[in-house]
Amino acid sequence: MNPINQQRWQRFSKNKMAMLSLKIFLALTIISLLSEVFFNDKALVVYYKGEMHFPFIQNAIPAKTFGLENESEANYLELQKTFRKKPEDGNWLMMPFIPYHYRSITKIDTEPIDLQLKKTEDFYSKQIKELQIDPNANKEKIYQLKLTRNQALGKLDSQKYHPLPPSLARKHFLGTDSTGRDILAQLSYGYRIAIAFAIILLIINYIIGIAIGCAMGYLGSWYDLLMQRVIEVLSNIPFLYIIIIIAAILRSHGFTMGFWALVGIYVSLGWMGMTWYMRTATLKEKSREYVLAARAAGASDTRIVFKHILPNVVSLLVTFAPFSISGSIIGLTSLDFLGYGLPKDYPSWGSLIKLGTDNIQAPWIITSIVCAMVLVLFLINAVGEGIRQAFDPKKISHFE
Amino acid sequence: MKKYLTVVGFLFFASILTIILLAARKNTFLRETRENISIADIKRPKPFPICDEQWPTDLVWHNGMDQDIFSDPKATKGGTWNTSLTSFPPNFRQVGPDSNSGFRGAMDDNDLGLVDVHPVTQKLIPALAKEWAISKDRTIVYFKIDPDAKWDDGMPVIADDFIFRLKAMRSPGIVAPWYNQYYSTMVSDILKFDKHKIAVKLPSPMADTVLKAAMRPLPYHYYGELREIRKKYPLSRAISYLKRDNKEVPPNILKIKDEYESSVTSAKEGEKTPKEPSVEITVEDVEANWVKNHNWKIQPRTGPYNISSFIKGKEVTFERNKNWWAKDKKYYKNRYNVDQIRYTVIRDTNLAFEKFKLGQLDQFALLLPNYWHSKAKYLDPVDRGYMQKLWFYTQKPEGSSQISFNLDHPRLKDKNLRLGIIYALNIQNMLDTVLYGDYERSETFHEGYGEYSHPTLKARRFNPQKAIEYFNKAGYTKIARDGVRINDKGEILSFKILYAAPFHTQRILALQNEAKKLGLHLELDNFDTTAVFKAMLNKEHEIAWHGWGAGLRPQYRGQFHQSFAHKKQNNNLSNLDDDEVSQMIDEYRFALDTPTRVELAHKIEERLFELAPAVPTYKVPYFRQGLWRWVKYPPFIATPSNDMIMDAYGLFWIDVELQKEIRAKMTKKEIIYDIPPLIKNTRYKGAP
Repeated sequence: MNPINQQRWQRFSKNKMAMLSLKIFLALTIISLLSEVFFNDKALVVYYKGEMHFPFIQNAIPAKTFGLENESEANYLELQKTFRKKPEDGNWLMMPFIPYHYRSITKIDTEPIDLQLKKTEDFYSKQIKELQIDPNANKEKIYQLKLTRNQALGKLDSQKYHPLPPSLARKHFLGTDSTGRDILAQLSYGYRIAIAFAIILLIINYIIGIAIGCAMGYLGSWYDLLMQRVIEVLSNIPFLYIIIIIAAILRSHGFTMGFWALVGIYVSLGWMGMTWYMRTATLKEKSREYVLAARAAGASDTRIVFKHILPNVVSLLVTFAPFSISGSIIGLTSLDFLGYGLPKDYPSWGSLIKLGTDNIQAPWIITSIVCAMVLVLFLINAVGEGIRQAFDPKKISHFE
Repeated sequence: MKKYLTVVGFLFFASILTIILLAARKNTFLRETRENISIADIKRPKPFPICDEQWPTDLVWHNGMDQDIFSDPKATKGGTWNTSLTSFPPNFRQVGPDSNSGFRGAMDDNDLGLVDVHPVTQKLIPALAKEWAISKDRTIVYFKIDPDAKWDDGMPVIADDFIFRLKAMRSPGIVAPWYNQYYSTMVSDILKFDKHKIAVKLPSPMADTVLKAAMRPLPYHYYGELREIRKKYPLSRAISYLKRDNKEVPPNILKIKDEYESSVTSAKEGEKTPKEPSVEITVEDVEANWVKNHNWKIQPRTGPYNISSFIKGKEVTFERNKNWWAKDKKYYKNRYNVDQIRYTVIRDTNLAFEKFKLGQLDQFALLLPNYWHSKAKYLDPVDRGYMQKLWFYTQKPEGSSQISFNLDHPRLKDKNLRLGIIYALNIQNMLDTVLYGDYERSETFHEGYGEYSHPTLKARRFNPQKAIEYFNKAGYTKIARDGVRINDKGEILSFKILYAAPFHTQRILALQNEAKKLGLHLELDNFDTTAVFKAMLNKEHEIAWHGWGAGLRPQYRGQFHQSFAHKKQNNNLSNLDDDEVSQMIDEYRFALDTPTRVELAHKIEERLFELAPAVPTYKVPYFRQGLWRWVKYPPFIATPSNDMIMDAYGLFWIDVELQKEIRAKMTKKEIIYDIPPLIKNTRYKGAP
């Protein structure tokens, strides 16, 4: 690390807010990258008849291996119960922290609820019958009793169906959605996709943006003029609309949208952002003496741009990165929310927001996703602000 | 300076005041009302000629007066029915470009046909025709038009109005190719005997003859005379149009036809067949620029209501015709009781629900399980006794929801594989969990058609053993890394399931989750509705999740006939190409008597079950809704054909006094006791 960068890092690490944000952000990212370990319906370790199995990284293990009848993959939660019933066999298994994958649907055992429903109904109808026989009882009393009965029954009945509210006992820490999938698991897997999308997009956009922007600044003349006009035209197209239109056209030609198609569409319109800054920076650096010296020494254009000019404008790239990432996350989320994004069975924040607004009577869905989104965007922006301050040339040139 | 400030201040407040005033009175100055034309001012167009044929004397006449009435004599007139639209109609035409909006139904309901169908017994009852008879060869239906029948501008309904409809629907000026084609092929002619006697000629004998011939009139005096224009058509169509109009084919067209035919026969194999030439012929047409001229015009109607005023983009008001000609007829008495029907545009369903809870809408459909079980579980107005929830089982033809396999897909050709997939679809689990156990499993492709529906056939249920057995038979014996089955060629047991409605995602996720356990992966494929539908019609899907609307009788041809297989832009989504089924469908289509048709319908269903090109999923044989208590309905609640309590049958009424009373109680939050908040009626549940 050269002294300037050392100085920058020092300045960044002095910024408490940015440092804390960076730590939390990295922690979240690591957790989500290891989602399979934390949120999974496959067991981490199964010890069966003296053998160790690691289902979460292994191929699908047929349930027969563990003494169940089924040929398909074992349901490890059930397996755990059967193991626990017979502790003398010495078999055991360890489930992840949250035993749900984003796509695993929790089945509700309705039998005890039905039983309770019947009990409650009997309890109230007995009272109502007594009142009806009683000539002194007034109408209002019976009606009130009926109302309380209906509400009690309704409360019990709602436990029979998803979405279920957050519960520690069921290990649904943020509740379930209307299909019966765990919200926390979806948040984690969805975050992984969003962040992967943003970073891949960032890299590709930067490569294209730097190449074209530097070429514009360095070569100048007709190439610069032509590209300027092209970029002006392209960047005036409303971004979200054009993505929706491209997606619709692709779809009508039998092409299903996936992760990489989405990256491709975003890149096709997103590379322009960086070109302007790179052009200006290159234009400025081009007239410096060191470039002249390099040219006099016989360096090629490519070498001058990538070896001499680029390291001098790197601060620009670094400062923009966090904001670009948060922008991409918002973009992907809004596209998913509108239904033009990732396939529907992917875990995605956009579709979670959609689910939350559709099921506003189950507030835990929308609350979870909004909190998660605000938190992540705040962290990224805080880190970005820290980087921007650390790279601020004014601070370096002034005496502190 | 002070003076200046005063002037500016005055102007400022004056403009604000004007804006407020305008906003408050926008209802009056944006509202467009229907013009009233007195009967004396109406120009009568030239009547159509009377036909040469003789009115037959040996006919057996029916008048349908032997059915029971289905309205409640206690119904009182008055009140306004407030209801909502999701978008404002693009125009008020019922044919032509962009006319097929949801709002068209509201206008169609107020156009009576010649005969109607009794909602309980499904027998014919009179409407514009007082009596009808069928000729012996079952190709001509004779109608005596009710002499009382009138348009709502006071003009009588006469034979010319029916002839005008036929001619107008065949004319190019309405820009509606489907109507042009339908009225050119399904009705051959209308004969006028006198003002009130007509006969509708059908091209061939058909089942349900009277209904096929029971047209709706179009006001001839309103649209005016037809004109003749020269128009270019492709050769074959031009000739068929000339024949339809009983005109001779001119020699120059015959010559072009001969030339074209000889060029087609002489064309060598592999060469492109020559393009069909176009020829110019004379056809009758409606007025020039008909489509544009009639976008926002309000046509006279024969039904109880017509549009009286509207605010573009906001609302449409229908008003009851107080002097409606049929108001004292047996089957129309005590129906259509509210004075006004007001359609307000509310684009968001959630917003409409909120407005319903405030009493701004009189009823709300609670059909979707998440509304019934969750959003409308506790409604304050219900608990306080102002509102009622109603669950009514109906018995009308069910739209058919199904999962279709594309048999042109190289792997889905294998019947074993299809059966494996069908046995791996846990539809019952989906109904029980995602749909709250509310919807019912469909057994066949056509349910609720009375005797036409197969009484005993049961759809294949989820069966893990059988699914695995059939997957093994189809060669998918091994299980790959992620638990999905794989065959010897390395093909994964994974298929894309294409569907249109985003809110169906949960349902398919539930299926996907259960199928995964058996080694079948269903990949969700969803997009914008129009694009999805286009992809389905182009047969780009592997598996399609879709539904068809219901008709009066089961329709098999479009969906299962081999003439549509392997071709784009038709409804045979499974590309089923089976000789036996197609033959039975052809027989079914031209069979005349009901028992044969019923038997054929059952046989077709059995054969379809055997072939398994598709699997029926679920049906919803009821309506559910919330209803304010001032909406009154007959003691039998509704007919088995009702869509809702407040619907086109018009059996309900609004108790205006009670409405005032309840609104007063609402402000005081007084509770009304002793009224059942929930009514569940299962009178028409199950097979008839």
